[in-house]
Amino acid sequence: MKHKAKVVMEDNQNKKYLGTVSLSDEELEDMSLDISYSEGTRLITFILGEEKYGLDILKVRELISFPEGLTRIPRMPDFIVGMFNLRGLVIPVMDLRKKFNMPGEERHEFSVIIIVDVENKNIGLTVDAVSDVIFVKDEDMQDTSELAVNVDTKFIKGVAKTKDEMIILLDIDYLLSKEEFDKLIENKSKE
Amino acid sequence: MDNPALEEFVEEVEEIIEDLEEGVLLLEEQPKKRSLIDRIFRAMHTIKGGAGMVMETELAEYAHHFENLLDKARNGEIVCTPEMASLLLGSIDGFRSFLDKIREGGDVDQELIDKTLEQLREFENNAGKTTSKPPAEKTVEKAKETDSKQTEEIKDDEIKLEQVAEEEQETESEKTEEQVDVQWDDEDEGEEIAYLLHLKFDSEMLRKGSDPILLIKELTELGDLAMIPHLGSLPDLKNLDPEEIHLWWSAKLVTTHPSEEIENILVFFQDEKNEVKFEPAESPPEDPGLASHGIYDEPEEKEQEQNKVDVSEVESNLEPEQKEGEKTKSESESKEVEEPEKEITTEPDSSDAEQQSLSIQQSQELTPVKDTKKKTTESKTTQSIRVTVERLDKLQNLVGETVINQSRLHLLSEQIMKVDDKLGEMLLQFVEDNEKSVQELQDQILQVRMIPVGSILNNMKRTVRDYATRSKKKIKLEIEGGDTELDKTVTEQLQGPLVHLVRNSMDHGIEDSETRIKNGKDPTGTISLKASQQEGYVIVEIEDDGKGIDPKVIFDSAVRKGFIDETDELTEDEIYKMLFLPGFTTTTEVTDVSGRGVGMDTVKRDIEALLGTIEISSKLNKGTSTKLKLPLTLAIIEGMMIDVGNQVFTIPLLSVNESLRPVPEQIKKIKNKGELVEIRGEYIPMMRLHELLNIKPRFKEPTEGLVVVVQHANRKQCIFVDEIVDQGPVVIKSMEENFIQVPGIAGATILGDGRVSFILDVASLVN
Repeated sequence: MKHKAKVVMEDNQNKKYLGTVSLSDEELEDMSLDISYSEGTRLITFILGEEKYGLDILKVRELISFPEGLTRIPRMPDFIVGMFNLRGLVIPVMDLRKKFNMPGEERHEFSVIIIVDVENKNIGLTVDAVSDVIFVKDEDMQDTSELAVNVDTKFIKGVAKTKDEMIILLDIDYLLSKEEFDKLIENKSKE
Repeated sequence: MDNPALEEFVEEVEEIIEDLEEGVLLLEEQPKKRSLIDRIFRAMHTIKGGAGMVMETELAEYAHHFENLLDKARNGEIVCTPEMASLLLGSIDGFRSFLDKIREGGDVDQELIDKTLEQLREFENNAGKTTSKPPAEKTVEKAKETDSKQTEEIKDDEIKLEQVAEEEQETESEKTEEQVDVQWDDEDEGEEIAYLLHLKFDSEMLRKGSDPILLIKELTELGDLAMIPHLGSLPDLKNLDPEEIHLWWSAKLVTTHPSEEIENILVFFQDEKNEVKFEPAESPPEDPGLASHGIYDEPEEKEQEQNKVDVSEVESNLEPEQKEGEKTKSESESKEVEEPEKEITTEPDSSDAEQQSLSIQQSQELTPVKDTKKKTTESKTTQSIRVTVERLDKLQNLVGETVINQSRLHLLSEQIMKVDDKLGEMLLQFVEDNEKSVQELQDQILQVRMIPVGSILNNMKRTVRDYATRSKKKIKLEIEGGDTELDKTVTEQLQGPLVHLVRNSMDHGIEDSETRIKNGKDPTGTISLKASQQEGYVIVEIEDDGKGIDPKVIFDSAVRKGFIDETDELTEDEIYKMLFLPGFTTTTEVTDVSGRGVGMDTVKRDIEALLGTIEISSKLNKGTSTKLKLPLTLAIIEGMMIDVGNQVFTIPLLSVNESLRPVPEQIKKIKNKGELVEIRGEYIPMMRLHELLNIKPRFKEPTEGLVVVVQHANRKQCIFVDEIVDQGPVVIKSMEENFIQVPGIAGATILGDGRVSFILDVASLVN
């Protein structure tokens, strides 16, 4: 049996009616897991090495497969893989494995680039695979810096706990901040 | 700010403010120019009205205060002084603060607002005491006097009309002087003045090859012309000679041009057979919007309601005539009776029905004069539309995409040609046809983005004025070539460096008046800004006639700072170049304007970011000149694509002098100075691009690959590359848009195959 459901986007003041969809029982059940009235964040989760990471889905512009013909930027560290043309935009790609000094691994067919939008800059991040979109309530998110992970903790905002796993929340704003990028130039000019 | 009305208002006010500022700066120089006061008043009034409409009541009120001041100035209650100009400039800063508030939220600079209003009150009080009241009262009395005089005269004998009119003119001119109490400098040139014209031509005129329409056309170019034909001497149809002139006209011309110009036009028609006269109208229009179209009426009809006939009224009088002559006959007749003429008595009105129908034809002939006028004003309103820069940028990006796709298509059709001759040929043909449209599209969009540099050059007036008032130096700013066009982005980004350079000239260049007199110079220093277009570049020169820069001082200073050795031998040119070194300054004192040693290097960086160059030359005690050379546009440049280690880089073609494969003898190695290439007797330093970029090249020696000679300012540099791949227009994409500014790279572009190529920053390679 199908159910009709109104799709309404809602924030504090505005309600925007987007249309109606037909949903099966199962789908409805699935949805109800995600739609929650408590405060929280919708995350996109991805795998990097042994661990699962998450970042706020509102920062994600799109997901693409690894592009052909990446152009290396001269005198940039390894983890800046290069720049490529995304429909007319020239976008840099950062290899998160290399950035976090994880043992290098040949890119395989699941390797994906997440294009994020941070302060109006579009930047690509390579990850091993994208796994899911989940909703995490605020109370399930934890601020921690004493976590034993393979990543420099300054790039981590905290962890989110779900029923059966732990997701590391990347501090993407810091990772891709102008200050961090400017360090790329300083380091190089010192050499 | 997502209220479109508000957005539009802010944009509009921004423009008005610019106009206002320009007006006020002019007023400071010519405080007695009536047209300037009017212009400023109108601007202020528009701001007030607009602000009220978008419910920015505080802003409206603020504008209102200044509008009041200007109104008093217009009425002569307050005498315009340079102080008043300062006051008005303060208000402009106030408006800017309001606009910032509207645009970005937050608060207005209340301190500034209060301060300017306080100054306004002070000014009004002072001005009020000294000048305003007595003459104002006098004016009223005088006006009354004239009124009563008029009524008396109206009762008077009609035969005396002409004389009366003259007398009235006298009192009128007297009145203007009294009322305003200020002798406006531009009473004759800027102010709109109404003239009455009496145009009666020799009936044989057409046969002599002349035509009243020529005169009428010329008059309409001077200003608003309203005409009334006199049909009285029209013969009946069967007696009508189409080659004779049967009409004569009364006209009212409202113009800002001096009366001599009218005279100059009329003089050609003035002979014993033509009666062509003009004189100032007895009442200058109070409200130019309405009364400028008013038609001259009989002096005896002094009453206000009848005195002013609107053009629309004249039209409604004329147009129905064309359609239904009979019906409007009586109306026209009655109009004619009312119609103004001193000659009325001598030339009795003799219209009858048949003549009337003819007059219709005549008036049809006349209407085109007015019609064309109407059309031009109408088309003016549809000639331009407002487009946000954002939208323009998007459009430009899309065109850029199209340009790229075009070259991709080109590549593709070449590939297809390899597989299928015929199909490939067809496709290629199409692609090449399309190329023309794309090229045109690109040119057009670039044109749209061009704006005159005058806008930012004029902004400097305020900078100079403010500085001059503060520093007590006398400085004059001359602007030339303000209509030179430049890409909007370039123009905007030019503003900062320009302010800096002008400040430098004012602060370090121009001496104070005493020193200047001592040195036999004009006590007023001159800074001139000149813009011109030369070979695909726009040249902006900032020149002052100040004390100049002593190369020796720079040299010593550079030695002191450790930039160079005392023993170094430098050319004058090289010495001036050191001014651009970061942290370099020659002044020992730091003022609030300049001299902190952060400056010229920033200016240079900004100009180079615009792909431009900067040069300084100076003569001791004569002055300093700074020359900026800027590309017309930033969006698309001609590029040379070169290959290093299978990676393609782009060099702006404008920087490329030549390319060659040197023979071994041309290459010289010098210890500590690297390699040089000898080209026609000139030794040019060479860099190996692959080393700089840390890329593994295909060729190890320049004799196997190629050397590209580039030039920036007057410095040359050889760049060793593997090979030249291509040449053509490239769309520049900013590296900073999604990443950061990478040293040595001016930007990125997308090649025909869709890959990204970096554009080399020639300026940094050369230095």
